Amino acid sequence: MKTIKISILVLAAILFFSCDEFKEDELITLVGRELAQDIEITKTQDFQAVYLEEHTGWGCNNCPRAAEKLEELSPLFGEKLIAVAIHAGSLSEPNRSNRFLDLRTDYGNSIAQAFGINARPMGVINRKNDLIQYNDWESHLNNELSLSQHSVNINMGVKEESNEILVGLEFEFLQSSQDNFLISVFVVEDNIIGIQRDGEDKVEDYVFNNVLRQNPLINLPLNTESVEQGQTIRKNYKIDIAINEEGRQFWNLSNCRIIVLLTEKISGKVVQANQIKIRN
Amino acid sequence: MKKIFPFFILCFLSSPFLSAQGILGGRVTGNFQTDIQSSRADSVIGASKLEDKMRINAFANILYTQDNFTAGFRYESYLNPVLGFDNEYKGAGIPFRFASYKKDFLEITLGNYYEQFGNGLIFRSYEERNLGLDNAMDGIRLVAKPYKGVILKGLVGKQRYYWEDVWQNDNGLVRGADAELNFNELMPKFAASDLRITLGGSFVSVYEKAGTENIVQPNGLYNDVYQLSVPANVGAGAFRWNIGYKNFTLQGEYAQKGQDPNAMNNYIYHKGNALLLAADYSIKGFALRFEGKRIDNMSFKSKRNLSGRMLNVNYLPAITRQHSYSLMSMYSYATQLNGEMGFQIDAMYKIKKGTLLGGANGTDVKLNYSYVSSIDKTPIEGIALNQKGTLGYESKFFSKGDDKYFEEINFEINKKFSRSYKMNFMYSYQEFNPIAYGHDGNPMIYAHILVAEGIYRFASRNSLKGELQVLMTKQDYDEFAKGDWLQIGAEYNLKGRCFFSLSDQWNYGTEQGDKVHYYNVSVGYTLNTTRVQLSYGKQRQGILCIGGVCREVPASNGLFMTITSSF
Repeated sequence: MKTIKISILVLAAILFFSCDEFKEDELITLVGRELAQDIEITKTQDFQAVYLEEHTGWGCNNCPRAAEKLEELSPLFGEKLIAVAIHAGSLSEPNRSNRFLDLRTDYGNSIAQAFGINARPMGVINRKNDLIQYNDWESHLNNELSLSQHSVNINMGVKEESNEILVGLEFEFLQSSQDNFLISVFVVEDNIIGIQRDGEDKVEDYVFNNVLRQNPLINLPLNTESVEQGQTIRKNYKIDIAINEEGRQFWNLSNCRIIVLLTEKISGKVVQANQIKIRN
Repeated sequence: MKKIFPFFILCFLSSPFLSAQGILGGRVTGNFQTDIQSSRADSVIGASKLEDKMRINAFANILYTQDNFTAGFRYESYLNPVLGFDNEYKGAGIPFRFASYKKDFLEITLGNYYEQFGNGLIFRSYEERNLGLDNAMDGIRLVAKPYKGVILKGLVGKQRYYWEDVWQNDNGLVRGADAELNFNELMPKFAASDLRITLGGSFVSVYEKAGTENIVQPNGLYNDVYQLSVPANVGAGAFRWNIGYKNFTLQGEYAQKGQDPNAMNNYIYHKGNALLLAADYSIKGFALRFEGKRIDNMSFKSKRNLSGRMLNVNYLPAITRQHSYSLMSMYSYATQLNGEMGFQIDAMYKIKKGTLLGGANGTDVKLNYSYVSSIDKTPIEGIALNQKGTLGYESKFFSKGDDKYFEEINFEINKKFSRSYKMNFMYSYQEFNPIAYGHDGNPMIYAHILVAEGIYRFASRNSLKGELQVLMTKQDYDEFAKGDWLQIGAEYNLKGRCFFSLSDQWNYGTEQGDKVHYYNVSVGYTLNTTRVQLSYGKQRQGILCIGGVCREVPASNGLFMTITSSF
């Protein structure tokens, strides 16, 4: 009889824990707004890009080395390399020591969590699952570029309005595909001055580049049916500019770029990326 | 899978357990089947030429058994798949391998296995070769019988999906548990009771990475893009009972499924449920059975963005009569996973020997009636019916919807005139809604079908069978409803070893008139456990249904050979 009781308890436990449920007001979340108007395309693409997420933090002693590595790689890869710095985890928590400069975002936190980033600096290329030390970035970037099939170009345009950035995208397919794709669009900012730990030292006027900013548009649908070679798909989005308590724009738009990623819906891997400056 | 199998065999052969027991002391059994098809172009029936000339499906099961230990595998090849089978099966390999042993009260299976909880409303892993269906599990299964009358089952694994390596793909992980108590076996004082009670309960959960699912809704100058909250874990529970008293039996199962937005239900969050009821009464010479069923949003797959027949976690049986005569089954009903309700009454009466109608050998009379309709679905205020990303609709449990899906009344008379001659007569009236096959908007089909079959056994143990089938309907549109049909067939059987048959299906009630004949010639030979059958003729395009699950069969014109063997 003891076995039966245990079995019933196990069954009850399974019943209780093995089912996710959402309330009526939790079923859907507004994640973006497509514009009805086409924003003019001003930058075209004719190459395969590679996307690097640099996981960093102001309290991370070794992170300046990774940033230096990235600066070293930038001229080698040119516009083919698109890098974003994600500040997340305990080493990014703002406090008195860094004058409460908070470079974290919800999106960055979720990416770091999804990839299980427990140590920094660390890199993830094209959102594949490998975590890569900064010394190995160059070989992995080269390897990724040689393996990637150049199957799509992302042409871009951007328009600035009061507290909004309007982004025009044109996806130009060079190969047919049965896959469904998702689009992510977000802002990164360069030249943010703040405090950074560097070994034993604390650098007061450290320059943070490629910093992921708030209000991203994440995983918006591109297609629900297969795409054909030669097909182009237009999408236009609006990104709200972050506003501080005084109603002033939180970002310096002269230092900001729009990054766009095209990912496979099922695997989440990046198949193409591009970027454009908001102000020339 | 290919990497795992050699490892598995190595472990199997090098196992100290097996060495100790002596592997050569066991018993090896197996069976084999191959289907070989060729077809040429035939514009009249819509058959296309096979570019590869010949297609071959084959499989072989090999089992090793020693005492309480069993291990085996199945080799399959589809080179290339015969017409009607999914092209994804193309290839060859070993998709099924397992090892199992029983020790004390426990049976443990590692590798692939099939299993069913209750009626299968929340879990059934099975193979239906004629439909090209195989959702074998790959994982671990435990069956425990700790006391007489108590059966506990637990399992975890992933389902077969053609030839994909299940441990490399993103399909969901299936976990389940089942318990069944037979009170008459459990409690000795009820062992001989007229009252028989068996109760059971089960729970299944599918884990699949939540992923991303969006909907786009127009909003003035914008299109708002919403992301669905996708449950990574979808659970379903079921409770069943089987209560009998003397000649009466009442059995049933109720199942409920949690929120499961998926491609089959247009990503709605309406909870699913299913009820299956059956009542039987039988005395000598008479049997009566009533079945009722209600299904609401019960498509349950281990991959949420997949539609079609593959990766079903559960099985929802049909409660309409499953016919074996080809014209009777031309408009077979397919279970509507998103919602249906219906019932079936089956009665069988044996007219006694020596009466006017019973004659010298008695007469069997069978009557069957079935009815299936849609269920009530009322839109939620402010939301379109079944709108993606919403609760979908409300449904009153006992209210049916406006659409009739299927209705049939049929009766059958089996009459044995003498030891050597018997006949079977059957009539069926069917109303069939093509929406059941996804042909939404096509008119309802009303069909009268008659069958007469006679078998004469000669003194030499040879037999001759004749068959006449007629289907009459006024509906004659596109490839789905083709008017009237007549089928004539004859089969001569030599002592059960060899047979020769001729048949012709004549689609005489269409615009093409009497040009559409589907003739067929077959010959077969059986020796011990080996059988070879060769057919030549035309196969009409149609739909093959088994247990409410269907697949399309394309037209063909050519040879078909089947070889089966077992040892």
